[in-house]
Amino acid sequence: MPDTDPLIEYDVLIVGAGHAGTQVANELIGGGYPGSIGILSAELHEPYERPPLTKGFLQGKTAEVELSLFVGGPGVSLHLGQQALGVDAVRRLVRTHDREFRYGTLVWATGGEARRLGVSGEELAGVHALRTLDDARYAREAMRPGTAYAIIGGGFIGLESAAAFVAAGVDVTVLEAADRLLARVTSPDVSEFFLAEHRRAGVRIDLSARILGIEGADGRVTGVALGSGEVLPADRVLVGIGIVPNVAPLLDAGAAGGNGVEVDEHGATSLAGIYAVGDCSSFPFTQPPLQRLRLESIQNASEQAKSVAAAILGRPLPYRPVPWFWSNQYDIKFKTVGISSGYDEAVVRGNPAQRRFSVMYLRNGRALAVDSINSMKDYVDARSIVGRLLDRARLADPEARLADAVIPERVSM
Amino acid sequence: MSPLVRFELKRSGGMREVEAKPGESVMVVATRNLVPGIIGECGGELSCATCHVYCEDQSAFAPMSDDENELLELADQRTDASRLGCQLKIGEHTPDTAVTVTVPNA
Repeated sequence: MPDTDPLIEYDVLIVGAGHAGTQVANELIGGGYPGSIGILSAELHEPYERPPLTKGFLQGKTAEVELSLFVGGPGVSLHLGQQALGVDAVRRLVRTHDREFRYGTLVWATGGEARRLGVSGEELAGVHALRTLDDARYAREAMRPGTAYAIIGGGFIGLESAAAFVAAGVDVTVLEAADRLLARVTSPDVSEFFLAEHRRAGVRIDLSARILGIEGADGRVTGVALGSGEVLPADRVLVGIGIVPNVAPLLDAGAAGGNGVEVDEHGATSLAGIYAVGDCSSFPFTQPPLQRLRLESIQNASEQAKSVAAAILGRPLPYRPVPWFWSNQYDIKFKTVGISSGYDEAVVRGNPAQRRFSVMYLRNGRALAVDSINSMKDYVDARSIVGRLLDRARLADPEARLADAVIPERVSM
Repeated sequence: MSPLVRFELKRSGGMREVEAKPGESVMVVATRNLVPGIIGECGGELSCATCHVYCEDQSAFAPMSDDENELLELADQRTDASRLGCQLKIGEHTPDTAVTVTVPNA
């Protein structure tokens, strides 16, 4: 039957079919939720996994069918091509371009839009972001020797793409505004390591780069005008400078927020009956100087989804994460645990020259976070040491296990 | 005939038997069918250990890598039969294989 009913009603309406949204649905089903569940997706594709887009998919190792993200079971309806444009929190309605959905409980799981540069020429053909399956397909079309790809932004999206592109023989330049790569997420030691690896692979990397504009001819990109006066020739420009959370309809409806919508430990927003989950939400995270945190990761999407589903099921499970994240570039497996914000000491373990090392971030001797490169043992131990007091001498000894550096503390009652 | 994967649920005593496609991992088969206790959070990237299973007869699968062995330290109730479901690929050359794994967390 055609899907033409102007008003459709669900007990739980989930807006967004990424990892967070689909995981809330799957957790509700797994938890025996008896009501109806609807999911709206702005995209036309069935739900898919995003992390492999810039990893295995670009490298040609992961086929498109393998990206499929399962959501379903009886009682779950997926509506594709339905972008939520407005929320009426009083009448409990979500409006799309052609219909309205009534909800009992709303779960906002919209992720974000690729951030735009805000320079001239950004609308030229050949300039794109890498956020969706369509974006990744578009990038793959041009992955052959002879293509000149300029990547704006030396974060994970830009660097994973650079690694895949250069391996395919593409002529790659990464333009980074900061004076080091991955400046927002890691320490100078790790930045230096990735810089050397990419340069060794043949990627040109400009740090402290200033983009004056994108140049084109006949509506197609031809180059990037740099602050140095150089015009870097480019057939394609990938803009990977982060996301802007998709929260305008919720904020317009009165929800508290700014950089994402603010939620509590259960994912509840300031509006009755409305939860938010994943990249678009900021949750309480007290680690000086942080009060709240907004994360863009699978760990965050799936673990926060668990808390939201638990709250809807009436079995509260507060979200108090030890965040983790991974990135694959060339044969480098980077894994990070914890959040390093506010660290006062970084201890390097192992030898970056051997391409296997870790960096521990401490504050007052306590572990905040660990970055590990090609070091599964340290990653595994890192998952249990965040928050613990560490013995620096043992920490730096690469023969000792990281977990053995924990200084036992008496728990005071 | 499609290969079958039988999931025995350790805690509840239940059992699920589902069809797999050659090349799929035990983790993917489980998540695609909402088998409880197998989450597969990282999508098979050897980052999470949330697809822990016991597999007594591993003859149909590739042996454990060092990374898998180390990551399994994150799993609760590890035994000699412990594997990560994402590393157990249903063989393309043995399409009628029936595989049995036990899910410790369900």
